[in-house]
Amino acid sequence: MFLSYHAVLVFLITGMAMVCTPMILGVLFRPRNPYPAKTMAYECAEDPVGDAQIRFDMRFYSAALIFIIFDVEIAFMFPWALVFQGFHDRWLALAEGVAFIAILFLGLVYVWVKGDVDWVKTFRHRRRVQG
Amino acid sequence: MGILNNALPDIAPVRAVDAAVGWGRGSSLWPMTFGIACCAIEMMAVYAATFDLDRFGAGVPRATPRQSDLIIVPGTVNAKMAVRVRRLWDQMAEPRYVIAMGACVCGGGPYVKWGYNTVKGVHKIIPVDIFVPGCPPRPEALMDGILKLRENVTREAVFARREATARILDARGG
Amino acid sequence: MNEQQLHAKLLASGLPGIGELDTSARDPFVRVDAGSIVAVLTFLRDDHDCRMEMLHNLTAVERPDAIELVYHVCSLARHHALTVKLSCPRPDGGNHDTWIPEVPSVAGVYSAANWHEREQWDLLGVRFAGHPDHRRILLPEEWIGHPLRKDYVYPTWHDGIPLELDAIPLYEPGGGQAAAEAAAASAAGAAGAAAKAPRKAGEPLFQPPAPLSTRPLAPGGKTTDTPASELGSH
Repeated sequence: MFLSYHAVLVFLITGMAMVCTPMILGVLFRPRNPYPAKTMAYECAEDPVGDAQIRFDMRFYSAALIFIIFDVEIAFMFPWALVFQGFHDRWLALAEGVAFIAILFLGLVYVWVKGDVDWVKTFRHRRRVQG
Repeated sequence: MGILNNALPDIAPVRAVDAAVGWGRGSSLWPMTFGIACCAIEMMAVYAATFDLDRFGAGVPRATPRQSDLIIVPGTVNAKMAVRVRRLWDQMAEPRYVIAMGACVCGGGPYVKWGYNTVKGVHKIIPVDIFVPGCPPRPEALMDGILKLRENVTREAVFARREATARILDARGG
Repeated sequence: MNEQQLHAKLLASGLPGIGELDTSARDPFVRVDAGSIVAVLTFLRDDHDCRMEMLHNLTAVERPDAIELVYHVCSLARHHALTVKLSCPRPDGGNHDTWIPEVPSVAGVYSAANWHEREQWDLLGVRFAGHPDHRRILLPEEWIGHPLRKDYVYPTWHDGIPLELDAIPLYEPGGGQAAAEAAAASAAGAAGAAAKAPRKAGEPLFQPPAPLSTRPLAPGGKTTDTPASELGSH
């Protein structure tokens, strides 16, 4: 039933083998010699103080989120280009692609104006946000 | 200790694998960015453009001992610093190598008689593979030391259990 | 103003404890008593004609009969300088273990004195009364002793780190099983062993040497009874 996807199966097996083989070989070949002075937390050779888990700044999260959205958008451009290559109505395909980009572009404009792409919000943005 | 380390007989295929692994390890000795005193300036000169160390594969200094397999110790080691040097060496992952760079590190240097605070040679606290004397050694001298270490590492037996090693290991009790 | 005029101004200020101007040295200096050093330096700093706003050195000299503190003050506005010396006489039998001279701290007058006084406490053992942060600055906090005293005994170890120059040779000239064993166990042997007899990968490269008290000594090597503290015991 799924015989036409034989290429996918080969790909799947090869991919898993390429991941698992170095891991297994590593377990066999790498030296393993743990002792307390080696496994202690690294803090520039001083005695570690404080917690290892600290609170992160929210800006990392929002920057990563914005990046992911546009990265996925770019990723969608490739299949769109391939699938609609021989499409009977070229202008419809182009309009759909442009509409997709335009909607996300509105989101970019919003984030930009609100100052969320600046790491440090300038006074101008701060006043607008607080006002 | 990995399962296969020094466990296989000393025959040609194992030696070939050893040579391959040795070539890989020797060509990518990643040092740790660790500079204590004046010799560190010459060490930086080795990393930089004129005496470029990157062409030997060793020009990727890692900031953390976990990712480095070579620690070059440049500069006088005081009692305060010796504790940290020992801890850094402990925190490196095997296989790890040490180059002692400079007169202070090789045997005390100018502080050998009146240094109340200095360790007369870092070999008292960590095992050293290569000593590079000089005050400071010229960048070419340090590079020579790194290349000698590279020779040693390339010829190291990773899987083969050679006779001399076997005798020493048996004498130590395995 | 040259040093004679500065000295005259000091005498005219009416502060007690100001001695003669000694011009025998390259930098003429004024001897001051310990009790009035703070007042003298404050006067030098605040007086309109002196305006010595910068203390550019505070050091100490150990002599057989005293420890002398030397204060180099200078004026950037008036382009003159003066050296002030304070002498703490050594009591009978005063040595490194028994005598810590004490003087008032001038860290309140010049903030540069803060670290300079910490250095003198660290290295020469001079106490400064009223210092805001009286602790060692260069040596480790738990160091015992003041190394720049003339009768300081150098330690052989500190915090498990051996500090003395080894009397033990790193290798035995000549061959033999004992030499091979010793070579395999010592640090230099590890370097040679890596080239000749490759070590077992994954095994610790270095068996730490035994504590000094149990190691065999070379003929003529001195012995120390160091409390054993094992290095790298794992």
